[in-house]
Amino acid sequence: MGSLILTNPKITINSVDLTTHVDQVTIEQNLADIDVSTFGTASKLHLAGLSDNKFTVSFLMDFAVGSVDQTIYPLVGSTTNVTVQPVNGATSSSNPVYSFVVVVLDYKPIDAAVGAVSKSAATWPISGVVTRNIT
Amino acid sequence: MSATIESMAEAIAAQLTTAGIRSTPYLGDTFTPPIALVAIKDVTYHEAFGVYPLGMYRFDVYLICARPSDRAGIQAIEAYMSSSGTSSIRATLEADPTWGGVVENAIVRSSGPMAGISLGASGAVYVSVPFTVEAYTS
Repeated sequence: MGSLILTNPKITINSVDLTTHVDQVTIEQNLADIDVSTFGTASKLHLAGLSDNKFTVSFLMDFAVGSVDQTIYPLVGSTTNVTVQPVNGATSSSNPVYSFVVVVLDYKPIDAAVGAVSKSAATWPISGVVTRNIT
Repeated sequence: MSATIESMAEAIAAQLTTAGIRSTPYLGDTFTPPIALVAIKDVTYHEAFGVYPLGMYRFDVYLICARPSDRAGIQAIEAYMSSSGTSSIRATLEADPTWGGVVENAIVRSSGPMAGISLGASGAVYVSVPFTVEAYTS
């Protein structure tokens, strides 16, 4: 049984590779819990409802050309494609690419204390499904 | 951007020397105060994802000043520890926080406490003050 210390993933937003400006990333898949219990059963019955997925990312801010701010700022209020791969390399069954569309509902270009590294975290809803590609 | 610890220490020493603060990028066995000696303290790797990830490099800069008298020695140290002024080590190292493009960003985090030390066979007394300097680079 293997394990992975995540140090070299690949994270693209709107086709821009922002990996080296990210220090935390989460893809969260959640489905609604639908109670379909009926009379005559001793235990509750459940079905999966609609999915409500989220993407969380923490940026180390960079305002240079082609970097974080120039990529994210124009996307606020719109949808964009995101891909996340555990290891920056060939796509395979053991190194899948997760791809999905997010709605950029919030963005904090400045979120730092004096003398601290300028970081910015955001959680965006995923519109639709999370696709797991292995080829 | 990728820099070695050696190149960062040399950049600190060069920036201090340019401002008139004599400096060496290593802890020399022999030196003549006043002088700033640069030494790497610790490194935090993987501050971001990537093959060559962002790292945080913390240096100690030991400023060693002679004590011709109590008052003169303290005044020199006060000028070096001040936040501004021509002798300010903080202002000098943050005037160009990339140190000539060697690092992505740098900050002088703190200085002190000062301490008396004796050097050489004569046991002459000097004042030493450490400055903690942080640099970020891949």
